[in-house]
Formats: sequence, structure tokens, C-alpha cells
Amino acid sequence: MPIEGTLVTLREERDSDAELLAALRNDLDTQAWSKTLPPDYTVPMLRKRYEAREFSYDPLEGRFIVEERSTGTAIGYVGYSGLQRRHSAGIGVMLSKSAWGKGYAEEANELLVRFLFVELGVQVVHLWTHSGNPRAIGLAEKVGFKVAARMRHAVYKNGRLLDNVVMDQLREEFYARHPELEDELGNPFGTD
Amino acid sequence: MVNHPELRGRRYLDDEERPLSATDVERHVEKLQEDKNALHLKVVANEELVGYATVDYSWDTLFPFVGLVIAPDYQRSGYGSEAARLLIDWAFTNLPATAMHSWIADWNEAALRFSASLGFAEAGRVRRDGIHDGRFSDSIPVEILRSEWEATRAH
Repeated sequence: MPIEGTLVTLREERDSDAELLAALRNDLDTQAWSKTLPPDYTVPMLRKRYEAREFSYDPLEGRFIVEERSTGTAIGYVGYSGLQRRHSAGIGVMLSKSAWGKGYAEEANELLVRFLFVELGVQVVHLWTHSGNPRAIGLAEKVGFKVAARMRHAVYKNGRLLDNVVMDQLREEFYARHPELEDELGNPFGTD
Repeated sequence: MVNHPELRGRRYLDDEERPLSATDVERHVEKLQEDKNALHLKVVANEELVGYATVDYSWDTLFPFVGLVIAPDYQRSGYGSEAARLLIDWAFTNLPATAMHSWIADWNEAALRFSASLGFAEAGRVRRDGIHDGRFSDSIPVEILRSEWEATRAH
């Protein structure tokens, strides 16, 4: 069931992705939250997590590997977690630095957001980042997110006390960006 | 207490709106007792249980979450203010926290006024974070910096 874009494909995680995921997790630039360090995630740890996953019809998180379409190379991860079915989910992205600056992260985020609204039927998608990562905030804005809240002194990274930045995107905001799509689900409660 | 209609959506449990059985509550309390990254407390007045309180630092001891619930029959008796004061003082005195935060549903005006009276500032509005009374509701994160807490103690 890969999700095809123009530049990238999102596909399921495989055993062979453990090395890439360990490298992303252990990199201070691709790992947003320093509090989850020291960066000593091992390939066996990630393989164990991969093997522990079980078949489920209603998983509350989804993990995808981002592949560069032109080469078929795995370049990163996108995923959602904390799914409240037909209501909300949070998303995250990590791409190898060699794949930065090519529009890959933007497309991977857009494909994931589209999947969440169009297939999983959520009403809102949330995203957490921090003020030390203006690239992530700018990228999220490009795919329709707005800054929802800023909490001061909430994150410590690279020697700096940073704001925790929460961003959100409503269902109708996604569809407003995509006039070619029709929203047959809408908001089941009518208006907010 | 947790099924009281006035507490729906403001009880700081994983499942905010669903009615809970005694077994649900027992399981929840057992889980809390295992929790090594948070302080879960009863609020007791005159030897009666009047509410419960949480300081949760599982995300980061720099930035703990605080939550306080007072049973409706005991509200507006000053218990909430005193319990909150004790809770916040405990956290800033015992944890290396730079700030503290909580989350309040947008319809819960009493809690927003209460948190403002304690010196918390609103940090934004996270849309459609919950469901309450037949509509999606927003969440208002509130926060207080250590320096702001120190200022509230000075007078």
C-alpha cells in the first residue's frame, strides 16, 4: 500500500530499515527532543521494536519509511501517533540530512496529512516542535499548519531554553488547500 | 466522584468523557501507584476526600504538568486554591523545573479564571483537541515560569 507522491513514496517499515532509523535517532539534528538522548539507540533496539509490532485493525499509530522515488533509497521516517479515531492525530518527521533541501520533507508531510484527513477521516492534525527549529515550523506552515500555542521555557536543547510550539490544521483548512477534493465527511457535529 | 456530570471533561483522566465503572477507577489508581514519574495525591479536608491532584514530570522535569480536581460539592470552599498553592510550591521546590503547565478545555471558564488567579498565563489555543457536549472543543495550555511563581510568593 505504498503512498505515492511525485518525489517520495511512503511505505511500511521493514527489518532492513533499522540502521537508517538508528542513525536518525542518534543525530542531534534529526532528533528534535534532546531529552530523549543520549544518542545511543542501537540497531537491535529498533529491530526489537519493529518485531514487537502486532497485526491490528485499529492501530493508534502509523509508521512509514520515506523513500526517494528516483532511486528507491530509504531516506527517513514519517508517522502519526496518539490517533483518536475519526478525531485527531499528531505527526512527526525525520529525514537524513543528505535528503534535506529537496522538498522531500514537505511532500512526505503532505502525503501523511492527506492520508490522515482523506483515509482516516480525522478532524484535526497536531504537530509539536520547538522554537529552536524554525525550519520545522516553516515546513509545517507550507503544508497548512498554523501555530496554535507556544509554551515558554518548555524545551532545553543545544544550550538554549526554548518554547514548545504546538501547531494544528483543521479538516476544512486541508480541503480549502485542495479544491479538487470534495469532503463528504465534514464535521459530524456541524460547526464548532 | 469521577462520574459527577460537572466533572466531565475536567477530570484529568485518559478518558475524559466516558462514564467509568468502579473497576475502571481501581485499575486507574493501581496504574497511578506504579507511576515513578509523577506525584498523584488525594486532596483531603476534615478527613474527607475532596479531590485529587497530579504533578507529572514524565515528559521532562524541566516542564512538569500539574492538574487539580476538586469534587463539585466541595468547590468554592477555598480547598482548590490551597491545594493548588501546595502543589505548585511542592513542584518548584522539589523539581528542577523552569516552568509548569496545565491544559484546560476552552468551555471550562471557571478553571481558566482559577489558573489565572494562580498566576498562570494562557499560551494559545489548540483546536478540536476534545469532544464535549456535542461539539469539538479546543484546549488552552496554561503555563507559569519559575520567576513568575517566585513573584507570586513575594507578596
